[in-house]
Amino acid sequence: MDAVASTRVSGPDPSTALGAAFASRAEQLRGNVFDLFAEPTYFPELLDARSCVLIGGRGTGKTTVLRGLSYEGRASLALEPPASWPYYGSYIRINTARVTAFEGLDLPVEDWQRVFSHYLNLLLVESVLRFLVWFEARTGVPTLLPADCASIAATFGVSAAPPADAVGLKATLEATRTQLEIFVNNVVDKARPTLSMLGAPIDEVMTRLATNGSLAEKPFFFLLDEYENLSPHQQRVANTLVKHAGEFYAFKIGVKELGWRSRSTLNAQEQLQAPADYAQIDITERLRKPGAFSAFAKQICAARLEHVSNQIGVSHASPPVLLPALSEDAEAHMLGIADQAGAVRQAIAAADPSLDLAGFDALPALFQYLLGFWASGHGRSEAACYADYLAHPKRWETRYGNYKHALLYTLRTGRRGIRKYYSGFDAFVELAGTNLRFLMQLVEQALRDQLLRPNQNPETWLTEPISPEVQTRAARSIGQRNLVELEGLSLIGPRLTRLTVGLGRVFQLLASHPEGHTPEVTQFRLSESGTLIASQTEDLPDPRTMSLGDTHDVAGLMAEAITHLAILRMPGTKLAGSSTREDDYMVHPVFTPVFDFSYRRKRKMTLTGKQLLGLVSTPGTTIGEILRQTGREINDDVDVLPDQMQLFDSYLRSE
Amino acid sequence: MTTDIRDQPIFTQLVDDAAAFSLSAGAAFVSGRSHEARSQHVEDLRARTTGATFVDLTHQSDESFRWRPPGASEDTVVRLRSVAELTAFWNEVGGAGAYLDITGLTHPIWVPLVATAVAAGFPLKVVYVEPVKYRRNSISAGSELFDLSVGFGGVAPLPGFVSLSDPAEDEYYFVPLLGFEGRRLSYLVSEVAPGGGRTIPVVGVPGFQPEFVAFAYDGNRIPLLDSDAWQDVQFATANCPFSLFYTLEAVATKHSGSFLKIAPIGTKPHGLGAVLFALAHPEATELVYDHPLRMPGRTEGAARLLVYDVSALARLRGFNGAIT
Repeated sequence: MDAVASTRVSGPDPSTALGAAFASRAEQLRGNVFDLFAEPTYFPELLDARSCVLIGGRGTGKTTVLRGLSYEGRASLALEPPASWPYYGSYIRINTARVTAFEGLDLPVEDWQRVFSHYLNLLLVESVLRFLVWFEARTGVPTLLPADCASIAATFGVSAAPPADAVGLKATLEATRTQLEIFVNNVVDKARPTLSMLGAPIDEVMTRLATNGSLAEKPFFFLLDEYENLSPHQQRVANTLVKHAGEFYAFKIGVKELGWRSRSTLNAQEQLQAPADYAQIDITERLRKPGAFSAFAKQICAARLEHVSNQIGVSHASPPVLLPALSEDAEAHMLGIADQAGAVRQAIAAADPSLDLAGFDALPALFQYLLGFWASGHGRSEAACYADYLAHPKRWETRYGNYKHALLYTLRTGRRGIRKYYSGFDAFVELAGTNLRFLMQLVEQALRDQLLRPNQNPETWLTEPISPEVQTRAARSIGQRNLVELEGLSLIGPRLTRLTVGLGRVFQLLASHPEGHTPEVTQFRLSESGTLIASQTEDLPDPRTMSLGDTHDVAGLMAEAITHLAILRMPGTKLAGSSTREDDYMVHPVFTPVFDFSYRRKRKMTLTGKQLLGLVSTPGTTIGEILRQTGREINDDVDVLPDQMQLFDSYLRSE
Repeated sequence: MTTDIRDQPIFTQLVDDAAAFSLSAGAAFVSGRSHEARSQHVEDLRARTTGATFVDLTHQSDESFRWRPPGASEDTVVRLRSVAELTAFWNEVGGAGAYLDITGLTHPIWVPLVATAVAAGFPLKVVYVEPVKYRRNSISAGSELFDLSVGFGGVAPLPGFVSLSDPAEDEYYFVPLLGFEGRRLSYLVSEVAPGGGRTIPVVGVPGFQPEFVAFAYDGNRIPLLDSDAWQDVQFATANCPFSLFYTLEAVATKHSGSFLKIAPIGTKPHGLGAVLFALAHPEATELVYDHPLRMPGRTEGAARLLVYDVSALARLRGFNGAIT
C-alpha cells in the first residue's frame, strides 16, 4: 500500500472525479451537465420551429438534450450573448406530485380538465417570465411593457393593479397560483377561482414578445420533459396546446416509450398527427441504426474520460483500448476448455487408436469441443462426428461459426465462479442496448473496479487495459443494481423484477443446454397476437389495479416492463396477417451478465401471455413448463444457479 | 429557540405495555382497523374502558372515510379534500380533546385529520403502537429484506397538502425519512429527481428495535450509494415525531432559504413529525408521498404504545391555520 501512496497523484480524488464525470443521470451531473453535453445526430432537427416529440426509454438522453435547448443550457454552452441567440427555450419537467393533484372523485373529469388547463397556462407563462427576468438581468433590455403585462394578466382574470414589468407580472401570477393551490386543496368547499382559457395567456405573452423589439422574430420552445407523468386526460389538454400552438412558439416534448397514452385533443375527434402537427424522433430507433449508438457512445465516453483525466492530471487511453474484447477462442481457453477438448480427443482415440489425429489437433480447442458437443446432442460418437468433419469440413466450418458463441455458455454449466465473460467496449455497447445511462454505468463501474484493485498504480489507471474478469464483474454488478432498481421505478416494480428474474432463468437454462436445439435463443414473441403492445396505448390497463389474472393484464405488465427497460421491444421480422407487424421482445441485455446468457439478438421462442403472468406468480412451475415446451428438463444437480443468482433461489423454486 | 435538539421538549407519553394504557372519562378515541395485529389493541382498550367515546373510521380510501355519529342510523362520509367536513367531524367527535390512533389508519386519512385538528386549535393527542417485527421477504428477488408493500399507488399529494410551488433544482432539498424498503426511496428519487448533493435522508435512530437501524441502511443501500446521500444522513428517534420535527428544523436552519421536499416513507411517528413541520412551515415545505399498497400481515405483534401531545408542540411553536 505504501507503493500506492507514494505514487498517488495530486489533485482531486480519482474516484470522485470519475463519479462526477460518469454520473448517469443528468440531475447528478450538477454543473457538468452542460460541460459534458454532446450533441446527438438528431439535435439539428430539434431546432426546427415546429413542435417535436422525443421518444425514448430512461437513460437515452432526453433530459440532457432538452436541457441543452433551454436558456440555462445555452448560457452554459454558447459564447455569444443571449440577445443574439436564434431561439430561446424553457425547460419544464412534468412533476407527478403537481399534476396528480388535479385528479380525484371530487370533480368530474371535464371540470378537472378545465382546472388543469388553468394550471398549465400558469406553469408555462411563469416559465416564460422566469426566462424574461433572467434575460433582462443579463442584457439590461426590458422585455414587457406595462401594457403587455396588463394584457397578459387580464387573460388570467387579473385586472386590478396591473403589474408594470416582467418581475411584477411574475409576482402577480404567483399569487394567482396560490389561489389555485387553495382551491385544489379544498376542492369540495371552495368556490372555483377565475379560470383562464386554455392557451389564451400563452398566445398573449408570445404575441406580445413577438411584436416587441428585443425578442421579436425569435421562436420560443417549451421543453416539456417526462410527458408520461400526465394522465391520459391531462395529455389531451396538453395535446390541445401542441395542436393549436401559435406561430411564435413550439413544444419540444420528451416522453418514455409507451408513455404517450393519449394522442387526442380535448376534441375527441381530433388527433395529434405526425408530421402535420409535430415531428417525431424515436431516439431508440435512431440509435439502432448500424453503428449509430456505438459511435455516439464512444464519443461521449471519450469526452468523459478526457474530463476525468484532465481533472486528476493523468493520461488516458480510448474506450476500446481500456476495455479490450475477447475472441471466442481466447475466452474458451480462459473458461478452461483444454480439459473438455482433451476428453473429446481421448474418446476419438479410444474408438480408433490407429486414427491420425493431426487434423484434430490443428483445430481450435473450441472446435474440438464442438465435435464432442455435437456428438452428445445427436446421439453419435465423437469419432463419428470427427469422421464427418473430415468428410465435410465446409459444413463443419459453418456449424462452428453458428455455434461457437453459444458453446461458451455451456463450458462451465453448474460450476462456481465466472461461467461467461462479458468483455470489450463493443460488448458493453451491446449490453447497454442503445441506452447511454447503462453504458455510462458499465464503463464507470469497470474503471472504478480497476482503480480499487490492490496495488493499482493511479498513474496508469486510465491507460492500462481492464482485464476480462474485472469487466465481467463490473457488468454483473451493474446488471444486479439495475435489477434492484427496477423495483423502485414502476408502480408494479416488484412484479417487473420477478418477471425479469423468471425470464432470465429461462434464457439462462436455454443457453446452458443448447444440445440438440436451436442455439442462442435470446428473444421471444407472444403467441396471442391480440395481447399486444402496439403503438395504440390508450386501452392499456392501469398498473395500479392490475390483478395479473387475465390476458388483458399481460399488455399492462409488458407495457410497464418496456417503459422501464426490463424488456426491450423490437420490430419483428415477420408480418402477422395482412398488415400488422408483430414485435419481438428480449430481456434487456444489461441483465444478461446476471443470468449468463447471450446479449446478442439471435433466435426467438414463443411464449404465451399466461406463461408471462406465471413467471411472476408461480415461477417454479412456469419455468419447468416453458423448458418442457422446448424439450428440456431442469436437473437440479446440473442446473445449479450461478453464484450471482443464488439470491433468487427461493423465489425461483416457488410454485 | 435553542438549536440543540437535546434541549427541546418531547411531548410523549410512553406506555411499555399497550394493555396498561387507559382513557379518562369523556375522552374521544378515534381509530381505524387495519390487517395488522397491533391495530387490535383498540378492541382491548374498548373492553376495559368506561365513559369514553370510541369512533371507528371505516371505508378508508384516498378520497374519504366513513364513521357513525353517536345515535345515528347511517354512516357519515367525510371527504378528505374538505376542511369544512373534517372540521365538522372534529367538532362532533371531540372538540374538547381527542385521541387519534394512527396505527391502523392510512396516511391519506390521518394526515388531514391531524392537520385540521391542529389548524382549528382542537386539543389532540396522537396514539401509535409499535410492531414487534416486520414481515420478512419470503419470495424476494434478492433486493429487499422485507415485504411491506406490493407496489405503489404512485406519487400524489396527501389531502390538504397540495403544493403548486415549483422550486428550481438548486432551491430545494429532498428529505426522505427512511424505512426498510429501498425501492420506495428509489422510486421517489426518480420522481423527485433532486439535484446532486441535495438529498438529506433521515434514519430512525434509535430504532423501535436495535437491529432496525441496520435494516434501514441495508434496505436503502443502493439508492443511498447512487445518490451519495449516505454522506448526509441525519438521525431522529424512530418513534418520536418531535425529534424528527426538531431535526427538520435543524436542516431548515442549516439550509436557510431552501425549500424542503419531505418524503414520509419511514415510521408513522416520523410521518407525524413531518406533517407537524409542514404545518409550521407551509410556505417552504412539500410532503411527497408514494401511496404504497400495503402487504396484508406486514407486521407482527404489538410492542410499546406512545401518546404524542401534538397540540402542545403547536402551541409551543405557534403554528396553526396551515390548511386554508
